[in-house]
Amino acid sequence: MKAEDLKYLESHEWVAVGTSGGQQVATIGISAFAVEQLGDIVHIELPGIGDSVTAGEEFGEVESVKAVSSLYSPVTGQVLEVHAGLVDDLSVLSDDPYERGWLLKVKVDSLSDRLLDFAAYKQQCDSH
Amino acid sequence: MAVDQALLELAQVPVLRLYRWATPTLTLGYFQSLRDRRQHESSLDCPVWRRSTGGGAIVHDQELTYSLILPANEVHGSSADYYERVHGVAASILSERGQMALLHPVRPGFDGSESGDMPAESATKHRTGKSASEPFLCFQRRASGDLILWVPSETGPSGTGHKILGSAQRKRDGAILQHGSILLRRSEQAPELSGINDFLSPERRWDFAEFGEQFADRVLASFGWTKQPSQLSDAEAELAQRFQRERFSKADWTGMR
Repeated sequence: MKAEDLKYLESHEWVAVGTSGGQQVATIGISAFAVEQLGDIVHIELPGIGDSVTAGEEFGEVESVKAVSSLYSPVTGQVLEVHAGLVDDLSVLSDDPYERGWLLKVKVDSLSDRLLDFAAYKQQCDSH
Repeated sequence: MAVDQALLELAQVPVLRLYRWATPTLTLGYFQSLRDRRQHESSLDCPVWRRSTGGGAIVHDQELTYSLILPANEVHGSSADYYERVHGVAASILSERGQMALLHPVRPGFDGSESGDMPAESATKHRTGKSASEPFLCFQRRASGDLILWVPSETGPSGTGHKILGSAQRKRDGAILQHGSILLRRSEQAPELSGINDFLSPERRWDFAEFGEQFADRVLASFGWTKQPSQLSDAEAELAQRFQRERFSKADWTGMR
């Protein structure tokens, strides 16, 4: 996936929405900018398969070199898949944040109404 | 810690708090496992709490704890910027009594001057993204920006480094809570760690309150803030009580992992 094709929350999570088996499925991750700001990521905590997530609400936590940050969901729905191998190799979050660094796949009920396109997100990052 | 958490959620202006603990106490970093405290025998008698900030465990005894709360509209830099700002203030205070403290990974040069070389072990650690093998205690870990006190050694040219200030953060909706611990003296509950006063002659040792006052004044000055001693608002006090009751005092919070 290309960064330009994704949508973002101000809090730096990205989302790509596709269709699978007739249902909308969102893939969620954290942006390259966020990963760079966080520094070395040492722990991540994600929901389980079947858990519900709510747009704009916390779905997990990430600890970089000593800062714990919340992760916020860009969609409301049910978790279909969790990136199981991630905890063993957190370096993919920085090496390949938009492909191998994905976090969750979620069956979408609704999308956040606060999603930004790439240009608007980039503008936000540039103003930091 | 409940007050710090309430301020993270409600504070409208930056807040700096400095405090000590009524009894020697162990706090765990948010992601640490409670059972790992068994690794550290000398603090087993201490009560234990889990922080919401990251990093390693702290034995709060002969130290000063600080918390810096920045509302989202007051955050104008990265995590590292705030560590470096606060730790730099402590370094400048120490320098006035002849002590050299440098932000990791900067090390003293062979002639006692500062040198920017990053040691190999540190460069490697920054790539792994793993903390499973990290020491249990914060003061035995090394992260970029930690404040290291360098003490001249008779056996080596560059002396030995002792971490005397480490900090950790929790971020929430753009706001930051930064916790830190300034190690002033060796504690019986963590005798492997030396503090600032352990390397000073008796007449030059810091009184805890005196150090705290200088630290607070200079941190505020470094941000260009004016000191306004204040009490918690009713809403802040109420939320702090709720956090204490429903989170920090609960066994399922302390033992969550």
